Amino acid sequence: MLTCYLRIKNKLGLHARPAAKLANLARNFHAEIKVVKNNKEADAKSILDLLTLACKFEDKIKIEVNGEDEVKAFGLILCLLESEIGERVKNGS
Amino acid sequence: MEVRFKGIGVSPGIGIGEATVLEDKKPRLVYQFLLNDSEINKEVARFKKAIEEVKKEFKQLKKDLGHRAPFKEVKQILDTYMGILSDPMLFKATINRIKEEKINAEWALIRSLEEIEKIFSEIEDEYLKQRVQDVHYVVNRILAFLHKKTETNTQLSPGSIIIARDLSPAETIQLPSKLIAAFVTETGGRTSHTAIVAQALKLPAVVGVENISQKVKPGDLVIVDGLSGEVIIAPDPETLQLYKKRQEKYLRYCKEVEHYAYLPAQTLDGHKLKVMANVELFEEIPSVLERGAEGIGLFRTEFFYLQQKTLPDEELLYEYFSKVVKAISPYPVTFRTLDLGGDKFSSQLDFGKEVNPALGLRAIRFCLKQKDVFRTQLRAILRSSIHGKVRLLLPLISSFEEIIETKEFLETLKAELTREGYAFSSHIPIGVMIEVPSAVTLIDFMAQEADFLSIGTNDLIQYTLAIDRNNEHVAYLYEPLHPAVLKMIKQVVEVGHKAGIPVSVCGEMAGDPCYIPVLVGLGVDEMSLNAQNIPVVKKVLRSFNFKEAQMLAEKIVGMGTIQEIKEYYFNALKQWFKDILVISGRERIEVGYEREHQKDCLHE
Repeated sequence: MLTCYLRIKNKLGLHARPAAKLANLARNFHAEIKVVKNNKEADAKSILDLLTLACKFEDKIKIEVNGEDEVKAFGLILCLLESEIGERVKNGS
Repeated sequence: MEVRFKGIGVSPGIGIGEATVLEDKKPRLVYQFLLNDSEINKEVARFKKAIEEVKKEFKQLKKDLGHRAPFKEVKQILDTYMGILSDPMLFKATINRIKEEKINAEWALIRSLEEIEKIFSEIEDEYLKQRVQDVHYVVNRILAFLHKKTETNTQLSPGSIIIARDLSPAETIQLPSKLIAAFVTETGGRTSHTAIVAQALKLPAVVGVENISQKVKPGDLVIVDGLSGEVIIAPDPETLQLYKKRQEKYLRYCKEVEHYAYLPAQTLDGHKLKVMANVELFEEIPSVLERGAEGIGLFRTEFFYLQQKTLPDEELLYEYFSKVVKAISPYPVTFRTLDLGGDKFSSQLDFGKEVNPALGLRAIRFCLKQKDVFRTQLRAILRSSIHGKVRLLLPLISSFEEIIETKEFLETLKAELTREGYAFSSHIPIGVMIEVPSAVTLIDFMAQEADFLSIGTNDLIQYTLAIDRNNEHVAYLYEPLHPAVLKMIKQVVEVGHKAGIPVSVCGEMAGDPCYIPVLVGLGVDEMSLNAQNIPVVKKVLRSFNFKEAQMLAEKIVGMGTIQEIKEYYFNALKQWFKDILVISGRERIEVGYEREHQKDCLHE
């Protein structure tokens, strides 16, 4: 399993458009992809699930990717998240 | 027997055709238990097929929209819709319900929707909470496809008159515009979504026609007059004949008017005016120039902000504004600073919900509170001024302090830019929007500090007469020729001229041919309007004498009732230029309608 942490830098938070992009990308992989905020987790393949996390500006989220194509999925998803949503932060900080 | 209805004409032209009534789509749901595996499989297949069809529909829609700039937002909405369509919470969850609970697709889908609604109701963020509307829309489309057999009313024949209680943005763009002759809705005002779409499509539209969808039967012959706001069901042969003639005349007239685009904007006796355009986006500039605008009298900067995902930074704004300045050069562009409320940035800047946004924290008030947002915009505008002629316009000014504070702030920013080595033009005129009654009362002060004044008639009328134009119950009270409004315009012009500064009018009043003589007569120097009306406004301007307009204006400003003013004014206009009034039917209908309306009110 691959994990990393991001801080949301998009002023509107993880709103409908980036959530749609993330879900559309995530659906291309077999791997299970989760977005975790405050111990609540959402399926990255579901735009609705992602929206219900209600990630706001400056929130910290954790990404978990687990499955046979996890390396490819992890890389592409990070690319998208970093360009659309936020910046990587060290675990815990 | 013909039946006549009166609404608000929001997009000109005459449409004659068969009525298509769009009902509020609430398909009757059938709940069904499935008995065996073969039924279950059939149901799953039916659901999957419906999903595929909706997906196809959205894709086609996106393709149809092409690269037209005004539809960019709509396309992004469609992407979100497609995401929701294949969302596990909707797609997989529904299939699982069909299989496990052995229920039919509609029932299972509704159960999924209820589940999603429950989760969304717990979200605190207002913006995200609202997204549940998107889910509703998608579910309704799926239900419509599941019910395909019962759905016949989307079949349009050429020349259909669309009649609906209300039309959502998604619904309006989904209708095949080539087959439509006109739109009629029960709700809405002059600035409603239907109005905007109809104008873009150049189709006649009337809104605010109460109860029409119950009074009209599908297939009825209907006449829609998008200028006067009249809707006639089952017209008598004579009426039909009359309107067919009017329609022909209108089309001929539209063609003829186009020639006026490049002629100078001046009256018969040589009094010159500046006719400029109201613009929302850069992409409109070529067509604005094509229609003979001498610059942009009102650039609504907020539209660029609304296109962005986040607040744009100075560089992005600078690039955009510079593009605009260069494209319109050598003519000037008037950038109106952000005319938005905090509600538009709800997820970003927390101002809570406002009960009455029209009277709330918006425009200059918002900018002076959110100085960082204002600073970014003003710096970008200042910097763009080196590429051509730039003017600055401040919206919703209601007190003298607001101008002083803004001007001081501008000076600070200029000093800042100079220190940082940025260039900007040394002469950027600063204008004040006159759209709040208190600004008219304080006009002496306003004129001292401003380089020009711009009367925003839409809001000035709304705030002066205390009318919400989107409220169909009071929309009829919205009256540009109200004596109070005329007196205000007169006062602003007089004080402006005494101070040696020009006065312009932006707002729908400047774009309506009927009001040009009174505005010119009152002494207005510039007009800024929707570009598509520039040719007709020039035609009108070129067909009367300034001296006569002055006398007419002088006369009606002294009158006390709307009725008196209208009768006198339109009678005079009728002698000046017959064709326009015959085509619009405005004089006859408006005066007659007002009288009838007053009679009705007395009876109640």
